[in-house]
Amino acid sequence: MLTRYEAEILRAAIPDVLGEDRGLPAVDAERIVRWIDTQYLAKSTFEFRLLYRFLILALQFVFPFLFGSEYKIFLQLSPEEKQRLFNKWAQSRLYLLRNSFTTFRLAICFGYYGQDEVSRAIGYDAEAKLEEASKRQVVRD
Amino acid sequence: MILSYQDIHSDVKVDCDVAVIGSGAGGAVIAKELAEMGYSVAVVEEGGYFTRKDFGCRPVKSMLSMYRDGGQTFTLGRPICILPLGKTVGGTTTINSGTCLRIPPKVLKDWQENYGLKELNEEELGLFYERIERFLYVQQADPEVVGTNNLKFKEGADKLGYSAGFLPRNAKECEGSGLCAFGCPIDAKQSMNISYIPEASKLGATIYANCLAEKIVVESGRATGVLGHFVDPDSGRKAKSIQLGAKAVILAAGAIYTPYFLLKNKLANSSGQVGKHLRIHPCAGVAALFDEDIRCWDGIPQSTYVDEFFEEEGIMLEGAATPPEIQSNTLPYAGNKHAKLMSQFSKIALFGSMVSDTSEGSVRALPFSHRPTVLYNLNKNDIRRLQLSVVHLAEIWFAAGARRVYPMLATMAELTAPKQVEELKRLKLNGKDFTITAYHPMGTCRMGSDPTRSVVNVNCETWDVKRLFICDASVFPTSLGVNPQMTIMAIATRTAAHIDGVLATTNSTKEVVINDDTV
Repeated sequence: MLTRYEAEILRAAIPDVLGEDRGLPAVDAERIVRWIDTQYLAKSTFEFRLLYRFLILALQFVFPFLFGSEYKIFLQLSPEEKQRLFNKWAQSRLYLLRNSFTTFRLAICFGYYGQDEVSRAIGYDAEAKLEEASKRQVVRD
Repeated sequence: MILSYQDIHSDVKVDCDVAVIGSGAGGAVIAKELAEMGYSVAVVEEGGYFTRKDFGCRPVKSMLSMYRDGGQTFTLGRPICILPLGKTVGGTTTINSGTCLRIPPKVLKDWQENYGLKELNEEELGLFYERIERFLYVQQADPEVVGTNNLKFKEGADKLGYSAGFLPRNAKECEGSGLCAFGCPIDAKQSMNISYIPEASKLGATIYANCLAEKIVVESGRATGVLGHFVDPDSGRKAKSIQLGAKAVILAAGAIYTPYFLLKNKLANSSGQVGKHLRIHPCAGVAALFDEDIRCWDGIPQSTYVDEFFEEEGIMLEGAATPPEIQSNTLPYAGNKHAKLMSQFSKIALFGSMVSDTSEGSVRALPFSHRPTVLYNLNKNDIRRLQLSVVHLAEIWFAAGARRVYPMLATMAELTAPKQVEELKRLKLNGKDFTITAYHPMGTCRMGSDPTRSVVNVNCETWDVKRLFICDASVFPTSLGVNPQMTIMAIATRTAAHIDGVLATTNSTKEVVINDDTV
């Protein structure tokens, strides 16, 4: 669903959207991009795919100017500049911009926090739940 | 019998007594009730048929297969509201929280007095509610399995002396898997796909899944059938056709897709009311950070409630928590600050509020779109009450011992002390400051006694087309204020009794005639 260029921008964005914490596994941006492309966007509506790709390109060409002090494209930003951009975008006074950040981050959060090792690090074990659930079925009288 | 896309190898042409479009709370109940009375029933359901083996305990996977458009449905307006809709056998009941509440008496009184629905009486509805509650094992949530998230909130409410309790739910032997919204993995939650639908099937109804109804056939002002196609769930392409001949047609596609269907087909809208008066029960949510483990994903997500503010303000506080991958995007901040919060997710609790809205939206069928356009703006009254609900949620969390509270407002990301709740109260907010979700669309084909101001009469029959009935939340004249599935089912049960009276006066076929080889 994504072009190589869009995938590159997304890959560069993911680590700073998600951030780092020693309580969580390292972010594998390539894996998340692949999931978003083949599992999430592939099953999304045409309109949502269009919107998401638009946001990626807006991130590359428009948002560094909108949220920064000098004009650079996103791929030229340092990690600190990227984090500042995402924080400003997330807290924008303009409602549609703020909302668009939530939309942009949604797929990234799904792609990262949906990974078994990440959710297990938080304490949620989907495999164990499934194992437990498979032993039991409630039957109606 | 339940037939899916892969079971159909040729066009289907069937004559039956009743054709039902939609298999949610309305469609499933009416199908079972009429099948039990001896009528031949065929149900067409756009979504697929999933069982607990498909649910997998991985929320995003369930969302992508059982939620319409992968959960990406929303209203346009101030603000944009996420409006998840089910698209699966069982409809939204397969992915709802399982809360079973009856219509509040004052709402029923309003319907009787202001919408001319005097025949909807409490006693009769009570009998229908009892029947449904027995069939669905409705009982109060077991405190042993509600989970720390819900218990903590109730603890805070109890400390403040607020009226609170455990919610009645359609669940048998629930173990608190925490996955109600993504398909119950042990079939404890008695959603339509494991209760009314299999029962209807046992009684002779045929359910066609992956089947899109496209047209209702109307002859001499009377509904006589349904036309549609089976749809490949992977590619979305139309495949074999389906043609149902029927003596009555029930449209139960939900408060968004029922009016959309009528508008696209230019049916039943002489009143101009189809698609209007949309209510959605806008919801806000507040998260809280504790020092101890909460593990909000364990236990029944929606199992306690606070109704202290319901009578005066139309505010219900109900549980709302999902696994980390779903909840992650609702928490504030970005980058390292967000990651720090997520690493502490096991200590985060969440609870929600729901407002009985007076705002009204609409559903439109725009010519250039193949989806309904849903418009909705929050009015000042609802904004004020949403703000009040967030204030109540925050104060209850602090009373429960929260260290920090996250009200999910654009102008206030975090509260670090109870005294800040006063600041929260004084904020001047507009709709765009909230993050709103909604789960109960209703009102878009409302019931009434005046054909110029309503779409269906008290028996859910459309004024314009005889033998065309609407059986879902679109018939509610106003916001209900509480979770609607029980009332949808009660009205469907009542409508089935009426249809029996109508059809009993004509000859009925007792078996489904299949003209082509379908399996």
